Amino acid sequence: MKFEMNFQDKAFLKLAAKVASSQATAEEQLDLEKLLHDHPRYEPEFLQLKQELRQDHKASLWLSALRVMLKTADPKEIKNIAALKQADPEQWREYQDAKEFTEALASREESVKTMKIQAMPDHVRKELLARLKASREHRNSLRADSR
Amino acid sequence: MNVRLLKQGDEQEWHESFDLLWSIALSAAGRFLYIPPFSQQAREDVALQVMKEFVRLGINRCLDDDPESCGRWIWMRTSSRAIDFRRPRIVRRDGNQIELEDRVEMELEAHIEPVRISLEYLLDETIACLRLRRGRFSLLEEGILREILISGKLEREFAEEHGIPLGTVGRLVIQVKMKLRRFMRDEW
Repeated sequence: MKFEMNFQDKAFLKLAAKVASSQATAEEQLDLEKLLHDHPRYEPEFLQLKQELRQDHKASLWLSALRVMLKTADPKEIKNIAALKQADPEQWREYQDAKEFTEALASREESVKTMKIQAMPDHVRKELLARLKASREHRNSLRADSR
Repeated sequence: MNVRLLKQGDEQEWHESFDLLWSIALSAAGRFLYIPPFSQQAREDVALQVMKEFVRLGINRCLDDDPESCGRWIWMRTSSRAIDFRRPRIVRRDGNQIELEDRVEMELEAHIEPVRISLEYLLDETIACLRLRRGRFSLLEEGILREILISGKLEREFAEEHGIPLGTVGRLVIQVKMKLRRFMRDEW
């Protein structure tokens, strides 16, 4: 193919992507370490790739939580999520948060229907009204300034 | 509850709505901060923080023709805040970093009741909440969430069906994923 990346860069990317997404074997892990040692210019590239994949993975976790609840996640996805508990507790925690948050959204209507109305404490009421007044005055002064 | 009057800062309307909104915030906080060490005070602190935000900016995100959107905003915001509040935190003690124990987390998980609702309702409610956050959640994004990200339709099929360039669909898929994460985490 014309304009292709050079062979070594390509090999680095393939290896780095595997390691960064925890899909590499121990041997591949060692190969990458050697490559990084021999070619320090790859070090920042690897860190950036790792960060980008992690960001995307985190975003996907929230979607996975929704898919699991909506029963559209495939078995492989479910297996990957279950594996996080041991492999990456931080991401597992994030997945749990996503799941609980979604469950909470789904329970709103029922909870609001059955909850007891509690009077807002006076000090809270006063504080909120003061804030309301302040933000109204702020809005009015902005309007006056723009005239 | 008249959303338009609330937006205009009508004190009488706020007075009449306060108890209901406060109860919704407390109820959502209670879902996550139910057992010790979280006290009634912790639940009230979270609820108060959310009510302050609601007065300042949340009310402006609510829909004039949907009074329920106020309760929805408060419910999701309190849930997000409460999760953040009880997430194991690193506390500094004598210069050392100590992680708050996971025990509380496990007990809380055990406490929460399983949800018994329809899956359609769950997705509808999630989308209704996404529409209340800063930045629009467009109809096209909703389509991408429902059809590609949840139901598994191929990006190419979706692009052809709706006459949208494949590159645009690909970009929006990433955008929707990011919006979903930012919305659910405490990043508003």
